[in-house]
Amino acid sequence: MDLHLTVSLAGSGYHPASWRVSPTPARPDGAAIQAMARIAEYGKLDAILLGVPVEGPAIAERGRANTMQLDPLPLLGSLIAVTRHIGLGAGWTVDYTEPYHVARVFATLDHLSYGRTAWMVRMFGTDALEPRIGRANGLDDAAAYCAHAGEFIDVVRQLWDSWEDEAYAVDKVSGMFVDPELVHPINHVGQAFSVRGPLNVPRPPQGNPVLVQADPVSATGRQFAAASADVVLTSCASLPLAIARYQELHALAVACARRPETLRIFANMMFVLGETEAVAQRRAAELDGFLPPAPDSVVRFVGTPEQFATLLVAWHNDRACDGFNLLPAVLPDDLELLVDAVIPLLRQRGAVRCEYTGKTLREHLGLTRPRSRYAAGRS
Amino acid sequence: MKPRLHLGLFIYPAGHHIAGWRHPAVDPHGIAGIDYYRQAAVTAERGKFDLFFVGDMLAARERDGRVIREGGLNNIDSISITSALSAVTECLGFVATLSTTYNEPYYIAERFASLDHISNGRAGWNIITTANDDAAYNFGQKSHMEKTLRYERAKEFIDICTALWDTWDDDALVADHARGVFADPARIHPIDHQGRFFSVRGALGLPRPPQGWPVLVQAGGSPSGIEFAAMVGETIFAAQSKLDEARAYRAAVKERMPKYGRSSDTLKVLPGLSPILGSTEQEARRKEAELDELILPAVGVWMLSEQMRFRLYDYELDARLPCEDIRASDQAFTPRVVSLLDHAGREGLTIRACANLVAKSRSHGTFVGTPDQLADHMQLWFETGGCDGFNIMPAYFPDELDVFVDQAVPVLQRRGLFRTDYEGTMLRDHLGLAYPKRSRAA
Repeated sequence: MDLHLTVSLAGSGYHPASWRVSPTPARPDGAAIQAMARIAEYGKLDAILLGVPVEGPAIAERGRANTMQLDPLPLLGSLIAVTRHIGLGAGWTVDYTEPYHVARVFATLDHLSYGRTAWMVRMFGTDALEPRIGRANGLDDAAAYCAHAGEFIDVVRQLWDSWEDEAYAVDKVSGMFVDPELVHPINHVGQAFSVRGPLNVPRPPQGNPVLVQADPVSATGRQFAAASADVVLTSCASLPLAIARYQELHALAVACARRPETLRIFANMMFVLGETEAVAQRRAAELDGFLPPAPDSVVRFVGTPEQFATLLVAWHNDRACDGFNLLPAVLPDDLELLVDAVIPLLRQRGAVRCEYTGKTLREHLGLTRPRSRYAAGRS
Repeated sequence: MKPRLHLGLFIYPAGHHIAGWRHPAVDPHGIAGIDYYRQAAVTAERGKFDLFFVGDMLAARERDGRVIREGGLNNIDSISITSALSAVTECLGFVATLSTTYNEPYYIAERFASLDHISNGRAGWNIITTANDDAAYNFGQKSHMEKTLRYERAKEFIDICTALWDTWDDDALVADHARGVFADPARIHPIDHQGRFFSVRGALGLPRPPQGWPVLVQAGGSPSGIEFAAMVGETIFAAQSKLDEARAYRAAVKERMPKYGRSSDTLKVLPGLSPILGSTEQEARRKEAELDELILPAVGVWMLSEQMRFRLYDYELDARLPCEDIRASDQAFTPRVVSLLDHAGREGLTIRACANLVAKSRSHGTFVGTPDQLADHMQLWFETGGCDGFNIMPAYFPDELDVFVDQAVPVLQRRGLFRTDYEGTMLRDHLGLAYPKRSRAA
């Protein structure tokens, strides 16, 4: 079984003090991220996930950490033409956003990239965004919030399905560009949204772009993720906790009549590498000396490429996850070490691919391409 | 230096001509993939264009609840296309289109700031309020917002975005290793906006965009659109197909600018122009006829009906356009409809002829002839106050763009009407627009 690897990229890295040691320019720099994307593709990783936030120190100290993030959507766009194989995911919140926009933008990105995109469903809740938007959305408890997010995702998927695959006919001879019989208004009227549809973009190459859900913290959130996501990112501090979470998510999937093998569970993990353990520890200590990571931040590995490869394979073999979303502490340094030193070891152990064998992100992840619900309904 | 004209490349996915996708030279299966757009952008940059322009639609093109069979691809998302192309070009500017009616200002300010950072200062925002009534139904509305309200909302939307772009002092990002300060909170100034449509508190999560603000582009042709253009537009995507109308439009916008405290020199008006070129006039005419033959009547009549907001489906194709019936439908016609009705009435045009006219030009200017003749045409418009340049709308890709860049651009360059190389790296440099100073002092 394949060990899947995705990586998140953010300016100078995922340690809040990374800017003190990173050679990347302080200002937001598209070219630097594009160069990192090429490195990740050289390592034949499954995907790059953009928009995973850097956990900063307390707000009073915000001036000391690089928590700047470019909007992940144009950032994803900027990677399409400089890569050819690697999957590209971006976070977009369901808060104060319209499902028509999300469906349309990800359908566009999926077409432009020939089927390599993922939507990372971000759920902030109301507190973080309310001042910026200026109105509360009235979703106070977790259940109401998940119902809102669930309806949002459902509408997005309906819109992606609103063009059957064969609707995009482009028959020059008859002059039929679109087959109107195969394009369907969705006429959705729900609790939070009414959307008539259809989408004005043909069905994405992947049918539905891959749906990633980050870090469900509440039990309700986990239940929701197990029911709706293709990939769930977990953040567990230890191997036993990760194994328990993996089993829990599989049980939740089964409980909603879903085959657990259709779900991919990736563990978030920050990493600091060094040629020797002493070097790695020294690097981590230097970063922590500048700015200690927040107490509840993501699980962190510090050590050699050999140790890291061993740990990744062990977690995978112990069924703690199907793969990892790796957060390099310092960019591009730790990404380069990952690709140059860790990936070859994983290949020797037969854990990861040597070449891309599929074209789409779904193929990289071993996920099937869903049929349009309209096509399925007719046959 | 003598003034030079500005060139934008306007992208309809399948080409500007409604039947362009049926042309034998076109591969219509490729028109949603990045390679198709990359080829156009690289060619535009080779031709030293100022900018690459992508429109936006928030609903499928339909007639009576069915998508249009012959209609070609809608505009797919413009931010996605332009951000992708910014990575494979160095100087070309990019204008993406987003609606102020169906978005939130905080998100959009962040999105365009990001595009400007990613492209190193090459972003422009075509601000639209969305004219398509059907969009409302995709966004939970019972009806489309009334036009005056839409423009009021748009004005407030822009005010918030510009204020957010200005929240970081130009030197707020200090990256001071000695003191361990990345960004100086004292130089970041959150806004606290309370208005009719929005309330927004906070600062942008990013430093000021390289251009200060992305270039603000506008396309309004109606009276409220002209007013809005005079208020905020730095570049106007205009739609006049006749020189006298173009002059009048440009003068009308410029005349209104001083009352908003703006100098009329800071405006660039670029009307759409769809050229069909041949090495002789006869060859160009033949190419035009070949393309026009590919137009299916159904799509032309649909486009005409949509534009007139008048159902022409039950009329005979070869009957004269029922100008009186249409006028009697008593609507607030757009200037282009008024112009088309006058033209059709005067010439006694049939529905078929009008449908073809709309289908091939989408009511923008067209030109059929040799590269020299085209240069004459452009020079006349430019030198007599009709425009500051053009948005070039190739009938189909890539051939018609290649011909323009390889044959018409050199003529314009020889005449000293167009740059032979880029003189700056940002879109504001190409357009000769000033960098906005921060509006709020620290």
